[in-house]
Amino acid sequence: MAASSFLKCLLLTVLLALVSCEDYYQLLGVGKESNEGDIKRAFRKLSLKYHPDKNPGDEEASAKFKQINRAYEVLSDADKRQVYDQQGQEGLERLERGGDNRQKGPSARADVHVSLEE
Amino acid sequence: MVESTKKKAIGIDLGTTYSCVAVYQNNRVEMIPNDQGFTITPSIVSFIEGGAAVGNAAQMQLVKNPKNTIFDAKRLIGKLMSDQSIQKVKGLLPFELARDQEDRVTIKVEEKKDQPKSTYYPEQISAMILKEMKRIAGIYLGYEVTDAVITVPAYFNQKQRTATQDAGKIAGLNVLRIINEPTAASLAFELEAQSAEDRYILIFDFGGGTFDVSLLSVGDGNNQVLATNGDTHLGGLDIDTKLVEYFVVEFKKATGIDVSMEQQALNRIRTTCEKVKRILSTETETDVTIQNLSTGKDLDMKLSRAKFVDLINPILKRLLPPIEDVLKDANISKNQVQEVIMVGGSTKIPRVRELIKDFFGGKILNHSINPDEAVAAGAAIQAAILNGDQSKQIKDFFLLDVVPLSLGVAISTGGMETVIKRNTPIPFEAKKGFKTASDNQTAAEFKVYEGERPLVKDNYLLGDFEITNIKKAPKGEITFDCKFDIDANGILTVSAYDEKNPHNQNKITVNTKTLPQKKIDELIKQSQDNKELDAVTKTVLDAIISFEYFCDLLKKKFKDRRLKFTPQEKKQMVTSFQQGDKIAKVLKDYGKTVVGLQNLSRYMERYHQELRDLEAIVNPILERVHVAAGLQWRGRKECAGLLEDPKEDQELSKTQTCQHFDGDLD
Repeated sequence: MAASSFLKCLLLTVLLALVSCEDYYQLLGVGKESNEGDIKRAFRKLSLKYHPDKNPGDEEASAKFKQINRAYEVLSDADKRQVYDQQGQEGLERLERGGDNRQKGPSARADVHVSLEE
Repeated sequence: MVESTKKKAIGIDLGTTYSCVAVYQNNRVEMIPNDQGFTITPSIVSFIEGGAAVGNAAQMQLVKNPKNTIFDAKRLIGKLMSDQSIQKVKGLLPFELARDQEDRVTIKVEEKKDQPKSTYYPEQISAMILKEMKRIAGIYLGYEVTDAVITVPAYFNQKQRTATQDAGKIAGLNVLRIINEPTAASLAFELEAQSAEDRYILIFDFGGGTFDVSLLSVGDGNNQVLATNGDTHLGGLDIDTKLVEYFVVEFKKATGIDVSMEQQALNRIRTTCEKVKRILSTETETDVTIQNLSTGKDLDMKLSRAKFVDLINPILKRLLPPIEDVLKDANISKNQVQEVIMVGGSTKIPRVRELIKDFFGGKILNHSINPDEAVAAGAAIQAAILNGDQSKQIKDFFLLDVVPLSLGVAISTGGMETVIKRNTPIPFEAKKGFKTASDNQTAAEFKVYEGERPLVKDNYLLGDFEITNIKKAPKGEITFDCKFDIDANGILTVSAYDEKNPHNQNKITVNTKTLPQKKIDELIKQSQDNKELDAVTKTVLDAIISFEYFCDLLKKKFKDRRLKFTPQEKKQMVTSFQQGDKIAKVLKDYGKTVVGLQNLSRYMERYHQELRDLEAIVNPILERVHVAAGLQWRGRKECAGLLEDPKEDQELSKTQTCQHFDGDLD
C-alpha cells in the first residue's frame, strides 16, 4: 500500500513537472494565431473537463486545472500575452514583478520582521 | 431511478432578514415551504422562558420581547466589537451586544428571569436559523438532510465566510460550499435560460441587509464570474432606518414626545415602516397610522412616494459606484451587458428600478426570476452539481467562481504586495519572491492579508507565520519563494521557503476562524445532544407564543374603537384576557417540565383545551360586536385580516400572519 501510494505520489510529481514546463498555448490546445474568442472557448471546454467540482477528490485534475487557469490568465490579458510571445516565461515573470529592473532593490521587495535578540 | 437512492443536498439562502431553502430534484428546483406554507422564513431567533423560537414564531416577539429577540445576526457574524461597522449599529439594535476576551462580538440574552444573562455568538444564532431550514427541508424530503450549500454576500471576507461555514457545522450540516449570492442567482437564471449563446450578464442584488453586484460571462453551461463588488451594509433595513428616523422627528414635531429612546415604540415604527415601504412600491401615497404610539398619542400622517424617494436618496446614491467598478474591473462597457437581472426584495422599489434602467440607457431589466427565491434556487443547483447529480441539465453545467478580494503579503514599508488579484478564477496557485529587508536578518514574518487598499493596515489580516534561523547575510541577499494556493472552496494555504536553504520552510493554511476550533466542536456537540429536546421545546414554545398571541388579539379587539361592547361584554372580555394571561403563565411554567414525547402530548392536550375554553367565552361576544359594526369575526384567522387593513395598528408584517395558529390548532 505504502509503496503504491509512494509511486503514485512520484508519478504525480513527475506529471506536475512536465505540465509546468508546458507552453501556455499547448495547455489550452490553441495556436499562437488564435483570437480572444478561441482562447475563451478552449478555456471553458477544458474547465468543464478538469474543474475540481466535476472531478471530486481527483488531485491530478485539480493540478491540471490550476495550470489551465494560469495559462488563461496570461493569454486572455493582451499585455501579458504580448510579453509572453516576445520574451517567454522569463519576460512574463519580469513583467509581473513590476517591470524591468525597477523594483529589484532589496528594500522595495522585502518583508518585515527583524528578530531583535540575535 | 438512481436519483431516488441518493440523499439530496439542499441550498440555503441565509439572508439578513429572511432565509429560504430549496432542493434540485425531478429535473427542477423546488422551493421548500415552512410550516406556515411560506417559502421565506424570518431570520429571527427569540429567547423566551424555556427556550428559543425561530422564524415566524420569533418574529411575533419582535415588539413584545425586543431585548431577547435577535435579528441581523448576519451583519454581526465574523466581526470584532471594535470594527467600525459594529460600533455604528451597536446603539441602534434593541438587544445587547458585548465583547468576549478576544474582542469578538457576542449577544447577551435573558433566558430566565432574574438570572444572569447568557452569551451567544452570532454563529450560534445563525446556526439556529440554519437548523430550522434543515428541519423544514427534512420534513419536505422525508429524511434527514445533512449536505448543504449556503450563500453569502459576494463581498463577505474570508472571516465572515468561515464563520458562516462554522454556523452550518453547529447546525449539524455538512457544508459542501459557501457561494456568493449574486452568483447563485445567476445559476438559477442560466439553468432556466439554457442558452448556448455567449453573453455578459449583470446581477443586481439589493436585499434586506446587503447589496451586491456581479458581472458574469455565461453560455453553454459555463458560468464564469468576471467581477464582483458591493456593500455589506446596505439594504432594505437601512431604508427602514431612514424612515424610522423621519417619523421619530415628525412625531416629536406633532406631539412634543421624543420616542428615540423608547425601544418598543421604535420597533412598532420600524415594523410599520417596512409595510409603508412595500405599499409605496405600488401606491403613490399612503397613510401611516400607529395608535397609541407613546403616552396615549397616535402617530397619524401621510407619506408620498416622492417624499419617500427624497428620504432614501443618500442610499440610492450608493447603488451606482459598485456597478461602475465591476464594469471597470472586467474591462467591459455597459453597452456590452446583454442582461441585467434584478434580485433581492429591495429591487421592488420603483425608484431603484428606474435608476438602474437609466444607467443602462433605458435597457429593459430582467425580473423573470423571483427576487426572494432566486438565490436559494441557485444554491440548490450548486448543491446538485457538487452532489454529482447526473441529470442532463446539471451534468454539463457548472460554476467557475473567483476570489472576491485580493490576497497578499505585508512588506517592510507597510504596503500590501498582492499575490492573487481579486476576481481570479479558483482554484489557483501563484508564486512570488521576497527578499530580506535588513542586514543580518535572522527571521522573516509573513503576514497574509486580504483587501484592495495599498496599505495593509487598511486590509484584513488573515494569518501569519515565520521563517527563522536565516543565515546572516547583507540585506536583499536571501530570497524566499512564497506560494499562495487557493482551492475550489476558497481555502487558502500559504507557504514559503528560504531559497538558499530549502529545508528552512514554513506554511499555514490560513486560519480565518473567528471562534477557535475547540469552541466550535463544543457548540456542535451541544447542538447535537439537544436534538430531541429541541423538537419538544419548539412545539411547546410555539404553543405558548400562539396562546399569548391570541390573548393579545383579544386586547387589541377590546381597544378597537369601531367595536361597541356592552358593559356586561366588556366585563367578560376583561376577565377573559386577564384569565388568559394567567393561563399563559401556567402553560409557560408547565412547559418547563415537559421532557419526553409522551409528556408533550399531554401538554398539547391541555393547551388545546385551555384555548377552546377561552374561545367558548369570547367568540360569541366578538361575533356580535363585529356584526353590529358591519364587520366579520373570523376567529383565530382574524389576525391575518388585521394585516390587510393598512389603517389598523400595524405591528405585524406580511409574513407574520396568524396562519401560524392554523398550523398549530386545527
